[in-house]
Amino acid sequence: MSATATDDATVSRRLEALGGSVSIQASGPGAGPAVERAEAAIRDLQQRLTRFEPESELCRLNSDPRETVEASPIMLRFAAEAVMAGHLSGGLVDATCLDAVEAAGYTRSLGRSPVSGSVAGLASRPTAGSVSPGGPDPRRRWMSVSVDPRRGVLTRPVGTRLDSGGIGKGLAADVAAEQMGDLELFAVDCVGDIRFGGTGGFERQILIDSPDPGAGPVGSIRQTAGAVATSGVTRRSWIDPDGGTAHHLIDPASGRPARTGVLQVTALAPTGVEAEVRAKAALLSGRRRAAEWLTHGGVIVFDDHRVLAVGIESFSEGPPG
Amino acid sequence: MVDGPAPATKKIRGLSHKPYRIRARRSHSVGMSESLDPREIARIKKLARSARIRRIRRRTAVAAATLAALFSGAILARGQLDQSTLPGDTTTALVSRAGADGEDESQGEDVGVVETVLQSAVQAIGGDTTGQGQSPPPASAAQPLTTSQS
Repeated sequence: MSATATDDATVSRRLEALGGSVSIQASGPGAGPAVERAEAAIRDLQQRLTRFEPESELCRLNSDPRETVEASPIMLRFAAEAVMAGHLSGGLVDATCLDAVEAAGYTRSLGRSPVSGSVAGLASRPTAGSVSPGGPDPRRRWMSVSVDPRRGVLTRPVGTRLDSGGIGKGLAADVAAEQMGDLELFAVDCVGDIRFGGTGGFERQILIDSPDPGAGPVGSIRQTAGAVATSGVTRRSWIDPDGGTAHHLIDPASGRPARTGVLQVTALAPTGVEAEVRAKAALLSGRRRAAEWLTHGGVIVFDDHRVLAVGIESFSEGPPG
Repeated sequence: MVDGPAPATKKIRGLSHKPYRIRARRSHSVGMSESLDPREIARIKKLARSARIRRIRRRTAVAAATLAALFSGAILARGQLDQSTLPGDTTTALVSRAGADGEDESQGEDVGVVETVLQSAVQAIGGDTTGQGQSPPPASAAQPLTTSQS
């Protein structure tokens, strides 16, 4: 963790969490304590929702033999967001696909290290299945999850395991932003899921990283507040036992890594969770329907490297001039 | 013999003996009450009231159109103008002028409501209705953020 006071009223902090690098930045009176609270909220969420620590609340929940389990407020909120994600995406974003994620080989924290080789190399590697849109798991297990905040309990069928995944990162950005909403300016970057804003209404430039590791940004946008999240298949990916490529974005219908003709989607939304859900749903729904999910705007990178901006007037393609 | 142009008056149905100017609504009651029965007077008053209501509605519509135009203009200009050039004073003055010749108290109330809505709208888009201006952005606002695959 590192903390820096970049000027008299700006506080910035960087920490390793959520499988990558998290940065928090805030300006204005009260920025210091607010950043402290935001960091504490992210650390608490990380500790409770990671699936890579056997003692985490999520791991204990996933192995609990009871149908109804006491849960912390952040766990209850995560479960509620997971159900919301299922409803919003029509089941494309399914937090109960942990079995398939692990079966694909994602059993340990990969950080942000990309698979060796470029995007072109990734695309040329043999991958299970041809290019086709993803779909929901007909079992819709996410619908069987429910929370009771008053009793502080979560109910799901025994054996239904939850994966915090991208929803957890979006939620981390949201809970951190809630600690800083009354500041003049703030931004929190939770491994690519960003919340930003502030009472000052200052415009920020947001660069959209390329799906090609090491390449520059594919473009940039300008916004004053909101959330932005990016989902893609060229990071957090690995070589499967057959020599093909696999990645963490599972098509719930097939239970295998999705190959939809879309490499990466960036989505804007009011909250981090919604941005995450829209980005992932757009990617999973394939070339033809991806844009339909970007209600608040977004940027799609197709597997032929074509870039499509949807509903963002401020989008500027290529590296900033 | 060719008739001349019709007088610029509106004839009230049922009032054949004397044309009545709708616009002269303030003077009709005294002069006409001597020759009209109460039912006719009531009808005349009703028509005059309708005309007054139409006028109020027309002015309210003008005020609303002014509000919409100012709101749109403020949004377009916001990125280019200094925040202090979008005070509520300017917009409020224009709206007030649209209703300055109102003869009905209720119209004044309508304009008051419009003023409140307008001020709220200007504040909602980041304008300053107090004319105090906005502080300069912190240096960190110039630092770009980067979103990447999560």
